[in-house]
Amino acid sequence: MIFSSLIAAFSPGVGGQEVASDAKVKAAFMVNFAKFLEWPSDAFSGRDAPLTLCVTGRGPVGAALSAYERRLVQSRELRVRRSVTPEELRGCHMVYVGEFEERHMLQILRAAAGLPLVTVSDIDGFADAGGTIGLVEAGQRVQFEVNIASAQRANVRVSSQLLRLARNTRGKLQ
Amino acid sequence: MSAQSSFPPRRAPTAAIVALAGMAAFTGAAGADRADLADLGLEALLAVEVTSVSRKAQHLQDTAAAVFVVTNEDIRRSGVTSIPEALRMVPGLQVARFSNDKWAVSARGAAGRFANKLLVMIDGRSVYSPLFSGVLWEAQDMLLEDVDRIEVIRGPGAALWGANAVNGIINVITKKARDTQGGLAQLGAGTEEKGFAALRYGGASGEDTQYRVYAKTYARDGSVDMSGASGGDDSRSLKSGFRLDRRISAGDRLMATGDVYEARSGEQWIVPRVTPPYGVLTPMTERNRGVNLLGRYERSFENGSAAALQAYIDSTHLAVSPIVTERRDTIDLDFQHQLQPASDHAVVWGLGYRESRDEVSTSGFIRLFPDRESFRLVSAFVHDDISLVRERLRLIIGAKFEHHSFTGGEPQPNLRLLWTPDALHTIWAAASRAVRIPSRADRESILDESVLPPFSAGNPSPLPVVVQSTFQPGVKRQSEKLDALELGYRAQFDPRLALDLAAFSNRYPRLRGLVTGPTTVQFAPVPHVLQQLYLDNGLSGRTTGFEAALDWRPLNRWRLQASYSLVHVKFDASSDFGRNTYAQFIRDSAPRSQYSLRSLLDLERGRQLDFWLRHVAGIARGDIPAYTELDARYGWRVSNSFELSLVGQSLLHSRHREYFEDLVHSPQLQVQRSFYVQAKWRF
Repeated sequence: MIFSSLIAAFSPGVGGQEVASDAKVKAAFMVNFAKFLEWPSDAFSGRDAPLTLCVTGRGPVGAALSAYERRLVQSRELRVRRSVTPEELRGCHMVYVGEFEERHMLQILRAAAGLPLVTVSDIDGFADAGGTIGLVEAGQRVQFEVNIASAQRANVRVSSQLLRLARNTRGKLQ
Repeated sequence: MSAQSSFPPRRAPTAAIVALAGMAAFTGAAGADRADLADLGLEALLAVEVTSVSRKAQHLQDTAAAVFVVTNEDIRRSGVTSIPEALRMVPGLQVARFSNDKWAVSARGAAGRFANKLLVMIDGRSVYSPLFSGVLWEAQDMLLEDVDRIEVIRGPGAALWGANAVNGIINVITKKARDTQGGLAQLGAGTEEKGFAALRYGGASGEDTQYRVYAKTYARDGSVDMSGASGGDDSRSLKSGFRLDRRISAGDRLMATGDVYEARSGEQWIVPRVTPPYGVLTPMTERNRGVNLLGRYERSFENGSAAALQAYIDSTHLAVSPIVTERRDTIDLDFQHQLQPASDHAVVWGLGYRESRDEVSTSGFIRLFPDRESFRLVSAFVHDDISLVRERLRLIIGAKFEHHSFTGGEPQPNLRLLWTPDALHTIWAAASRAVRIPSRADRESILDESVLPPFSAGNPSPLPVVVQSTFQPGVKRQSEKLDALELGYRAQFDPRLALDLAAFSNRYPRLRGLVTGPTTVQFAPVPHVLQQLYLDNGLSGRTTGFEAALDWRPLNRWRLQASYSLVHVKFDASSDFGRNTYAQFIRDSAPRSQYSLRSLLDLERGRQLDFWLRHVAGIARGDIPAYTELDARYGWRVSNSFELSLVGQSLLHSRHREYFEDLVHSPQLQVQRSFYVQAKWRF
């Protein structure tokens, strides 16, 4: 009890409000989403094959995601590939499209079609445009929306726990 | 949707967050932004608050220019009530308030109220006046809550934005309509801000269309002159407008925005007269009215390219009765296309067309000719961003070509290099040329600057001397040119600490200046000596300087922002007395250095305490001493829908001088210590 009040005295915010850089938070979301998604078995070369998270462009989310390299998610090791172009998406299980890559968004969505790939982005209206998970900044916090049709096209199953926490779900196909 | 409340879950996750945060505080390292963040779990992540330091820095990271972004949070927490006031925190910008509503904003040493080398845009619409090549800030009131950010690029942005962006560009960008949904009401009152009120409502029509409408008004008390008497510059303004955003399909967007306004402010001019008392203090009223409408259509294509088409009309009416009135209508069309013709080339090219017609009427000591004029500006630009070494070295080559009715064609080339040795550092260098097209007033204007009484300092003769700046008939005015070299360094040491440095050397080979003209004796209305000064492009000089900006978040709840600027102005000596005197005027109009230090502290239970300390060196012309001032703000977010704030401005001295009216003679006015209270409701 003394220990926890000491901690409270030094802790940065009342009510345990955490404050972090948005890139680190978005990277943390990516890793957490992976826990609630189920890829088809042919998306992996074997039982011990890694789960590959890709990032387009040179934004800070890529750097933040690299910190999770080798972590275990669903018994698979995480691999992070950065600065991935639309032609290099094969082998990726999730791809993060940074906000500053907006002009590549359509290209990436088109390349992702037909692959067992979950697309995640903080670009405005990403889920509407056909991306699987859109990150939305609401006030000072990050929320997310899920486009179920996009996940279905990729043959990826989205756990109901994830859907329950989503701000919005969309069934629209691009 | 069960977990979407605005309060964090109050059970186990809270304890975990507090414990982790406590540990982080003990280790003194960068808080809880570590790999542990993923361990919080989804529910807790949804409650984490994100900071903006790293995001803002990322946006700038790839820019090979001296950029500074004033964010919405910077605006809200600085207590400012106008755009120029917010610009005080930008390194490289000299901002001086010389009257209640009137500001002199310039960049990199090119000073003055009508500092004519800065391009200012609001959502893509230029608010730069071609009448005198400057911005009438008193007509640009905005609902600051709905401003997303102000991007300031110091240095020539000519290749992208064209002529008149010589020393920099200020781009005010409002929030998208989907980020301003619902109602907002703002009410405030204070000692100088007598009263202000704003109302905004944002709504949506289906999933794809959002809009907002707003109305805003203020009344401001005038400043005081050197004796403490009222400066006669009370002002008021009323403005209303809208914004509409519509997503037509996955890659198609439409945006429309428009405003209508009326603003009024008082001034006092010392009107020169050839008979005693040679200068008469005359109260004037300046009225600004206007309406504008802008539409922009953006389309992304599947091959990764994108295009945008923008059109706007802007109609303004300025009246400083009874001396000057100007009615102006402008239509502007702009097209841009971005494409990737090869894997290492990102090309942007565009075309622009602007037509502006005016009707001016002048009398007395200011005369503009002709009374009706229109000009056409046609421009094209191209810009290639080449990846020389992937992820490491980029070369940007650009050029803009313009043809203007007044001065013909002007090529403006631009070369930039950007090196990113790693994700944390960027070094950039630029060489560019920019051009400023002469304004109406630069071309055909006659201005009686002042009258020197007989037997006074500067005039030992028995006749009064009228000093008049005028144009030389038959001599064509040229545009001003700038050749600039710049160097910059940007580092994001960690998400909490970012540093931005820039240095520049600007050479102006043909600046607008004055040269001694004929001295004649005139007999009407009474005998006097007329000393004319001709406007010409014979001034040349160089400005060099350095700017630094630091953004540091030492604690999660405490953010510091500091900026510092230095500028040195040197003009080439001339044998002409008139030219040298004018050169000295310009050189002595900019403060040599300035700094700004802001502290933003989040206290418990939604309270905020913010300070802003700034210092500006003295201005030799006008004998303005250096000053240091402090603004403070105490904010209280009572609930998600109600916020109060108490702001004190210029707290260190009851009054101080910052600048003077430099177009016509006016009494020197002072900025006063002031307070105001503001309440904001969201509904």
